[in-house]
Order: sequence, then C-alpha cells, then structure tokens
Amino acid sequence: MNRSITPDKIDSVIHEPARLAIVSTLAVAPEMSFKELKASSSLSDGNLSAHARTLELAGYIKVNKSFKNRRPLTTMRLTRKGRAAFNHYLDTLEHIVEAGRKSEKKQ
Amino acid sequence: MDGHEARKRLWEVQRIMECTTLCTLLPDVSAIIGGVLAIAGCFLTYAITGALDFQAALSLSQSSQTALFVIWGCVGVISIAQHLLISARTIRKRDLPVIVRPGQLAILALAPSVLVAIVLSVNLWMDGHIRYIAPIWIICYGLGVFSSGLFSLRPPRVLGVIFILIGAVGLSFFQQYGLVLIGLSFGLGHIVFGLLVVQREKRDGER
Repeated sequence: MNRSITPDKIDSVIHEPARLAIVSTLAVAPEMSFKELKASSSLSDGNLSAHARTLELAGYIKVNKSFKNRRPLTTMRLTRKGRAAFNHYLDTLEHIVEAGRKSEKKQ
Repeated sequence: MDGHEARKRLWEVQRIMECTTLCTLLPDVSAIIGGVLAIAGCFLTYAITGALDFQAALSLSQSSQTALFVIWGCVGVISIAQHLLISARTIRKRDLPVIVRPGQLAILALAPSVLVAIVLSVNLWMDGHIRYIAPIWIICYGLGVFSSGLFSLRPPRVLGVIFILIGAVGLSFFQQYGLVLIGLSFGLGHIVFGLLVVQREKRDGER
C-alpha cells in the first residue's frame, strides 16, 4: 500500500505552513496590508517578509509599496498564477485524502 | 504526505479562509442603516418624552411607554433583519458558504453580552433605574463586538472599545443623557464604522 505522494507533486513554495497561511488568507481577501496579514497569520515581521519574498519571487503574490499619510504602506495580493497554484495544491491535498480513504476502506 | 496530514492541512486552510471571509464580510451599508435607525429611534423617543433622559419615560402614560417599547423593538428587529438580508446577499454574490463558521463564533461571542444586557435591563426597569439601561446596553454591546472581533480583523475590536468607552463614561457621568449616548454610539458610531468599511472596500476594489 502506498499512502504517500511523491514530493515533486507538491508545490514546495505553498506547502510551507507559514506560506500556506499567507496564500490561504490572500485567496479570500482582495488585498491585505502587511500589518493586517501579520495580525492574521501571527508571524513576526522578519518571518512574514521572508515568506512574502519567496512567494513574490515565485510570482504567487504581488507586493505593492506605497505611502499613506507619509507612512510606508505595504500591501499584498494574490496573482493569477498564485491562485492557480493554490487551487492545484488544494486539489492535490484532496486527492491524497481521497486516496487515503480508499486505502483505509480496502483494509 | 499521508491522508491524515493532508486532511489536517485542508482543515487549516479552511479555518484561515473562513476567518478571512468574515473579515471581508464586515458590515458596511447595514451598519450605516443601523446607525440611521438608532438616530431615528432617538428622535422619536425625544418627541414622545421631551427629554434626553430615559428616566422621563417613567412619568409617561401607559400608551406612551408602550410606544417607546414598540419604537426600540422595531429599531432592534429591523436593524438585525436588514443586516442579515444584506449579509446574505453579499454571501450569495461572492459565492461563499451560507453558514460561515466564524460568523457563528461571532454570534456566540455576542450572545452572553446581549443576555447580560437583557437581564440587567429587566432588573433596572423593575427597580425604576431606567436611565442606566442605555449605558449598560452600550457597554455590553461593545464587549460583544470586541469579543466577536477576536475572530476577525482590527476594525470591530476598535468599534467595541469605542462603545465600551462611551458606555463607561456615560454610566459614570452622563446617565441623564441616555438619548445622546445612544445617538453617539449606536447611531454615529455605526455610521462612521460603515463609512470606513465602504471606503476600505472601495480602495480595495480600485487597486
């Protein structure tokens, strides 16, 4: 019985829990500021910056830097590529769950 | 990755998405309508009692007291109904699940405060201290909104704190201005909150 899935089938960029939390949040919010995302994901400034950078480099999120009331404002939103990758990741998870169910039934 | 871990991941994703969905479902137009209704209730009450103090209701005739009950009952029922209708429309429009779990949590967070407010109101009414009812409702509602905001973003928590402050100051120093307190909190507070949410949504939509 093979209950595992090969690592190459899972998107390692999204698979990391903190990045998955960021992408999941942005999947339902049109746009979020760094501060809001930090509050909802409970990540530190440094962690959130690093993970956001990884997601940005992968083309999954778009980071926009501007000024509001003379203060820097960083906002993030999911790109089309990011949404497609997220949907694909969810499909993969569902596939694994389904495969697990089937193998449990067989047992 | 096995099925168990994948299921855990899916649950986590679902939880995060539900929490964020609730954030994007912050009341906007319904908050403004609720605020306008509260202010209308204040004006109608003033027209009947001729005073800013709810205590004045005790010296009114039975029919006038009944009218006050009906006015505030209608304000409460219509506010909740329009909020539910507008939320349902938004949920349909955004193709979200009808029952949002964080929404249920928010209602659960609000329920104890509302229950406490009802119990206190009945007791204060029976003891003839009805001027305390308005600030008590403001504080209890603020506590409920603050607690429900724990499942959401910052704006509801800020609204909750504003209600608590208005209620606390009102209860301590301005109990005799119950109508003004209601107008400021349930009226103006909701209108400003709704306008800020509308502005925020507009800004998000433009980007």
